[in-house]
Amino acid sequence: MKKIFYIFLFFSFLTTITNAANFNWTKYSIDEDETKEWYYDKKSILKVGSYKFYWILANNLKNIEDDEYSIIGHHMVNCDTFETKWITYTGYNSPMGRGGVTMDFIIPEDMPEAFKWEYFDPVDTIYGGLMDIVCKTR
Amino acid sequence: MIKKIFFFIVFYLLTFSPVISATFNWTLVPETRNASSQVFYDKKTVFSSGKYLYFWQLANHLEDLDDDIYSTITHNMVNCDTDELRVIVYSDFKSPMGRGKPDLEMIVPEKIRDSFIWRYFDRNNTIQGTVLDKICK
Repeated sequence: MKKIFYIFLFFSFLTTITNAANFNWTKYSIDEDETKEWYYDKKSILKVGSYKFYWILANNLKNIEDDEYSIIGHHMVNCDTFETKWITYTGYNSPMGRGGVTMDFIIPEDMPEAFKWEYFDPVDTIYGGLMDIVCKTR
Repeated sequence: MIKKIFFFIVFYLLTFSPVISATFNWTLVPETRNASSQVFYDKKTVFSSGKYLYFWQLANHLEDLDDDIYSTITHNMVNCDTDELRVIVYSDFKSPMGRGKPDLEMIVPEKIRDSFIWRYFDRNNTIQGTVLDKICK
Protein backbone atom coordinates (compact mmCIF):
# COMPACT_ATOMS: atom_id res chain seq x y z
CA MET A 1 0.00 0.00 0.00
CA LYS A 2 2.86 2.32 0.87
CA LYS A 3 4.39 1.57 -2.53
CA ILE A 4 1.19 2.62 -4.28
CA PHE A 5 1.19 5.86 -2.33
CA TYR A 6 4.78 6.68 -3.42
CA ILE A 7 4.03 5.77 -7.03
CA PHE A 8 0.96 8.02 -6.89
CA LEU A 9 3.12 10.83 -5.49
CA PHE A 10 5.76 10.30 -8.17
CA PHE A 11 3.21 10.47 -11.00
CA SER A 12 1.54 13.49 -9.42
CA PHE A 13 4.85 15.33 -9.63
CA LEU A 14 5.42 14.19 -13.20
CA THR A 15 2.04 15.37 -14.40
CA THR A 16 1.49 18.50 -12.33
CA ILE A 17 4.83 20.28 -12.27
CA THR A 18 4.32 23.40 -14.34
CA ASN A 19 5.92 23.41 -17.77
CA ALA A 20 5.43 27.13 -18.16
CA ALA A 21 7.37 28.53 -21.09
CA ASN A 22 8.51 25.09 -22.25
CA PHE A 23 7.02 23.59 -25.37
CA ASN A 24 6.74 19.83 -25.58
CA TRP A 25 6.92 19.14 -29.31
CA THR A 26 5.41 16.06 -30.89
CA LYS A 27 6.73 15.25 -34.35
CA TYR A 28 3.98 15.06 -36.93
CA SER A 29 5.43 14.67 -40.43
CA ILE A 30 7.76 15.88 -43.17
CA ASP A 31 6.54 17.64 -46.34
CA GLU A 32 6.57 15.45 -49.44
CA ASP A 33 9.37 17.53 -50.97
CA GLU A 34 11.27 17.17 -47.68
CA THR A 35 11.64 20.91 -47.21
CA LYS A 36 9.85 21.16 -43.86
CA GLU A 37 9.47 19.00 -40.79
CA TRP A 38 6.33 19.71 -38.71
CA TYR A 39 5.80 19.47 -34.96
CA TYR A 40 2.92 20.50 -32.70
CA ASP A 41 2.41 20.83 -28.96
CA LYS A 42 -0.46 18.59 -27.82
CA LYS A 43 -1.13 20.41 -24.59
CA SER A 44 -1.40 23.75 -26.40
CA ILE A 45 -4.49 22.58 -28.33
CA LEU A 46 -7.44 24.50 -26.88
CA LYS A 47 -10.99 25.11 -28.02
CA VAL A 48 -12.32 28.63 -27.58
CA GLY A 49 -15.71 29.40 -29.08
CA SER A 50 -15.83 28.38 -32.73
CA TYR A 51 -12.12 27.68 -33.13
CA LYS A 52 -9.24 25.59 -31.92
CA PHE A 53 -5.86 27.16 -31.20
CA TYR A 54 -2.46 25.42 -31.10
CA TRP A 55 1.29 26.02 -31.33
CA ILE A 56 3.40 24.52 -34.12
CA LEU A 57 7.10 24.27 -34.89
CA ALA A 58 8.50 23.77 -38.40
CA ASN A 59 12.14 22.96 -39.16
CA ASN A 60 13.32 24.14 -42.56
CA LEU A 61 15.33 21.22 -43.95
CA LYS A 62 16.22 22.53 -47.43
CA ASN A 63 16.44 25.84 -49.30
CA ILE A 64 17.27 27.76 -46.12
CA GLU A 65 16.69 31.48 -46.65
CA ASP A 66 17.84 34.36 -44.46
CA ASP A 67 19.47 31.89 -42.07
CA GLU A 68 16.01 30.77 -40.87
CA TYR A 69 16.22 27.14 -39.77
CA SER A 70 12.97 26.90 -37.81
CA ILE A 71 9.77 28.75 -37.04
CA ILE A 72 7.33 28.67 -34.14
CA GLY A 73 3.75 29.87 -34.63
CA HIS A 74 0.38 30.08 -32.92
CA HIS A 75 -2.34 28.95 -35.31
CA MET A 76 -6.14 28.75 -35.28
CA VAL A 77 -8.41 26.34 -37.14
CA ASN A 78 -12.09 26.24 -38.03
CA CYS A 79 -12.74 22.50 -37.74
CA ASP A 80 -16.05 22.76 -39.65
CA THR A 81 -14.36 24.04 -42.80
CA PHE A 82 -10.75 22.86 -42.36
CA GLU A 83 -9.50 26.39 -42.76
CA THR A 84 -6.65 27.90 -40.78
CA LYS A 85 -5.21 31.30 -39.97
CA TRP A 86 -1.68 31.78 -38.64
CA ILE A 87 -1.48 34.36 -35.85
CA THR A 88 2.15 34.60 -34.73
CA TYR A 89 5.45 34.00 -36.56
CA THR A 90 8.84 33.69 -34.89
CA GLY A 91 11.87 32.58 -36.94
CA TYR A 92 15.08 31.13 -35.45
CA ASN A 93 18.58 30.66 -36.83
CA SER A 94 18.83 27.09 -35.49
CA PRO A 95 16.54 24.05 -35.73
CA MET A 96 13.85 23.33 -33.07
CA GLY A 97 13.30 26.99 -32.16
CA ARG A 98 16.83 27.37 -30.79
CA GLY A 99 19.42 30.09 -31.35
CA GLY A 100 18.71 33.69 -32.17
CA VAL A 101 15.43 35.14 -33.39
CA THR A 102 15.48 36.11 -37.07
CA MET A 103 11.93 37.49 -37.24
CA ASP A 104 9.17 37.95 -34.68
CA PHE A 105 5.78 39.38 -35.57
CA ILE A 106 2.01 39.17 -35.25
CA ILE A 107 0.70 38.31 -38.70
CA PRO A 108 -2.67 40.20 -38.59
CA GLU A 109 -0.78 43.29 -37.41
CA ASP A 110 2.23 43.29 -39.73
CA MET A 111 0.92 41.32 -42.74
CA PRO A 112 -2.88 41.77 -42.66
CA GLU A 113 -3.09 40.61 -46.27
CA ALA A 114 -1.65 37.22 -45.22
CA PHE A 115 -4.09 36.81 -42.34
CA LYS A 116 -6.83 35.02 -44.23
CA TRP A 117 -8.58 31.68 -43.97
CA GLU A 118 -6.77 29.03 -45.96
CA TYR A 119 -8.18 25.56 -46.66
CA PHE A 120 -6.01 22.45 -46.37
CA ASP A 121 -7.29 19.04 -47.41
CA PRO A 122 -7.04 16.73 -44.37
CA VAL A 123 -6.14 13.73 -46.56
CA ASP A 124 -4.09 15.16 -49.40
CA THR A 125 -1.96 17.76 -47.61
CA ILE A 126 0.55 17.44 -44.78
CA TYR A 127 -0.71 20.52 -42.95
CA GLY A 128 -4.34 19.42 -43.40
CA GLY A 129 -3.45 16.13 -41.70
CA LEU A 130 -2.06 18.10 -38.76
CA MET A 131 -5.29 20.12 -38.58
CA ASP A 132 -7.21 16.83 -38.57
CA ILE A 133 -5.26 15.70 -35.47
CA VAL A 134 -5.92 19.05 -33.80
CA CYS A 135 -9.63 18.89 -34.61
CA LYS A 136 -9.94 15.33 -33.30
CA THR A 137 -8.31 16.24 -29.98
CA ARG A 138 -11.10 16.57 -27.40
CA MET B 1 0.88 -6.36 -6.75
CA ILE B 2 2.58 -5.28 -9.99
CA LYS B 3 -0.73 -5.69 -11.82
CA LYS B 4 -2.49 -3.48 -9.27
CA ILE B 5 0.15 -0.76 -9.61
CA PHE B 6 -0.03 -0.94 -13.41
CA PHE B 7 -3.82 -0.50 -13.47
CA PHE B 8 -3.57 2.27 -10.90
CA ILE B 9 -1.06 4.18 -13.05
CA VAL B 10 -3.12 3.72 -16.22
CA PHE B 11 -6.26 4.88 -14.40
CA TYR B 12 -4.44 7.91 -12.97
CA LEU B 13 -2.96 8.96 -16.32
CA LEU B 14 -6.25 8.58 -18.16
CA THR B 15 -8.14 10.48 -15.48
CA PHE B 16 -5.84 13.35 -14.67
CA SER B 17 -3.38 13.83 -17.51
CA PRO B 18 -4.04 17.24 -19.10
CA VAL B 19 -2.00 16.31 -22.16
CA ILE B 20 -4.89 14.48 -23.79
CA SER B 21 -7.44 17.22 -23.34
CA ALA B 22 -8.23 20.33 -25.40
CA THR B 23 -9.77 22.08 -22.42
CA PHE B 24 -8.33 24.72 -20.14
CA ASN B 25 -6.99 24.03 -16.69
CA TRP B 26 -7.65 27.36 -14.97
CA THR B 27 -5.70 28.51 -11.91
CA LEU B 28 -7.25 31.31 -9.88
CA VAL B 29 -5.03 34.29 -9.17
CA PRO B 30 -5.58 34.31 -5.37
CA GLU B 31 -5.35 38.09 -5.08
CA THR B 32 -8.56 38.35 -7.16
CA ARG B 33 -10.59 35.92 -5.01
CA ASN B 34 -12.72 38.72 -3.49
CA ALA B 35 -12.40 41.27 -6.29
CA SER B 36 -15.19 42.36 -8.62
CA SER B 37 -13.53 40.28 -11.36
CA GLN B 38 -11.90 36.95 -10.59
CA VAL B 39 -8.96 36.26 -12.84
CA PHE B 40 -7.63 32.83 -13.84
CA TYR B 41 -4.81 31.76 -16.14
CA ASP B 42 -3.79 28.44 -17.68
CA LYS B 43 -0.35 27.57 -16.28
CA LYS B 44 0.28 24.75 -18.72
CA THR B 45 -0.01 26.95 -21.78
CA VAL B 46 2.24 29.84 -20.79
CA PHE B 47 4.78 29.76 -23.61
CA SER B 48 7.79 31.80 -24.62
CA SER B 49 8.24 32.57 -28.32
CA GLY B 50 10.82 35.13 -29.42
CA LYS B 51 10.89 38.11 -27.08
CA TYR B 52 7.44 37.55 -25.56
CA LEU B 53 5.43 35.26 -23.32
CA TYR B 54 1.98 34.16 -24.40
CA PHE B 55 -0.81 32.95 -22.09
CA TRP B 56 -4.56 32.32 -21.88
CA GLN B 57 -6.58 34.23 -19.28
CA LEU B 58 -10.17 33.93 -18.02
CA ALA B 59 -11.93 36.76 -16.19
CA ASN B 60 -15.22 36.20 -14.36
CA HIS B 61 -17.07 39.46 -13.92
CA LEU B 62 -19.07 39.43 -10.70
CA GLU B 63 -20.27 43.06 -10.52
CA ASP B 64 -21.14 45.92 -12.88
CA LEU B 65 -21.83 43.63 -15.82
CA ASP B 66 -21.69 45.28 -19.24
CA ASP B 67 -24.13 43.80 -21.79
CA ASP B 68 -24.64 40.73 -19.58
CA ILE B 69 -21.05 39.65 -20.17
CA TYR B 70 -20.20 37.32 -17.30
CA SER B 71 -16.79 36.16 -18.48
CA THR B 72 -14.06 36.73 -21.05
CA ILE B 73 -11.28 34.50 -22.36
CA THR B 74 -8.26 36.19 -23.91
CA HIS B 75 -4.92 35.10 -25.34
CA ASN B 76 -2.35 37.68 -24.35
CA MET B 77 1.25 38.49 -25.23
CA VAL B 78 3.50 39.96 -22.57
CA ASN B 79 6.78 41.86 -22.64
CA CYS B 80 8.23 40.98 -19.24
CA ASP B 81 11.00 43.60 -19.56
CA THR B 82 8.54 46.48 -19.72
CA ASP B 83 5.49 44.97 -17.93
CA GLU B 84 3.35 45.59 -20.99
CA LEU B 85 0.60 43.41 -22.43
CA ARG B 86 -1.44 43.14 -25.62
CA VAL B 87 -4.61 41.09 -26.13
CA ILE B 88 -4.52 39.01 -29.33
CA VAL B 89 -7.58 36.74 -29.07
CA TYR B 90 -10.79 37.96 -27.34
CA SER B 91 -14.00 36.04 -26.60
CA ASP B 92 -16.78 37.07 -24.25
CA PHE B 93 -19.58 34.96 -22.80
CA LYS B 94 -22.98 35.45 -21.16
CA SER B 95 -22.15 32.73 -18.64
CA PRO B 96 -19.40 32.49 -16.01
CA MET B 97 -16.19 30.50 -16.63
CA GLY B 98 -16.36 30.92 -20.42
CA ARG B 99 -19.24 28.47 -20.69
CA GLY B 100 -21.63 28.32 -23.63
CA LYS B 101 -21.16 29.92 -27.00
CA PRO B 102 -19.24 33.20 -27.12
CA ASP B 103 -21.26 36.36 -27.58
CA LEU B 104 -18.35 37.99 -29.39
CA GLU B 105 -15.08 36.46 -30.60
CA MET B 106 -12.31 38.16 -32.50
CA ILE B 107 -8.64 38.46 -33.28
CA VAL B 108 -7.98 41.95 -31.93
CA PRO B 109 -5.23 43.08 -34.38
CA GLU B 110 -7.52 42.04 -37.24
CA LYS B 111 -10.82 43.54 -36.09
CA ILE B 112 -9.83 46.57 -34.00
CA ARG B 113 -6.27 47.45 -34.92
CA ASP B 114 -6.40 50.66 -32.89
CA SER B 115 -6.89 48.62 -29.71
CA PHE B 116 -3.93 46.35 -30.38
CA ILE B 117 -1.54 48.47 -28.38
CA TRP B 118 0.90 47.78 -25.57
CA ARG B 119 -0.56 48.62 -22.17
CA TYR B 120 1.57 48.95 -19.04
CA PHE B 121 0.40 47.30 -15.80
CA ASP B 122 1.94 47.99 -12.40
CA ARG B 123 2.79 44.64 -10.78
CA ASN B 124 1.94 45.95 -7.31
CA ASN B 125 -1.12 48.11 -7.86
CA THR B 126 -3.21 46.44 -10.57
CA ILE B 127 -4.92 43.07 -10.88
CA GLN B 128 -3.59 42.58 -14.40
CA GLY B 129 -0.14 43.52 -13.09
CA THR B 130 -0.43 40.76 -10.47
CA VAL B 131 -1.22 38.26 -13.24
CA LEU B 132 1.67 39.58 -15.30
CA ASP B 133 3.98 39.16 -12.31
CA LYS B 134 3.01 35.49 -11.96
CA ILE B 135 3.41 34.85 -15.69
CA CYS B 136 6.83 36.50 -15.87
CA LYS B 137 8.32 34.78 -12.78
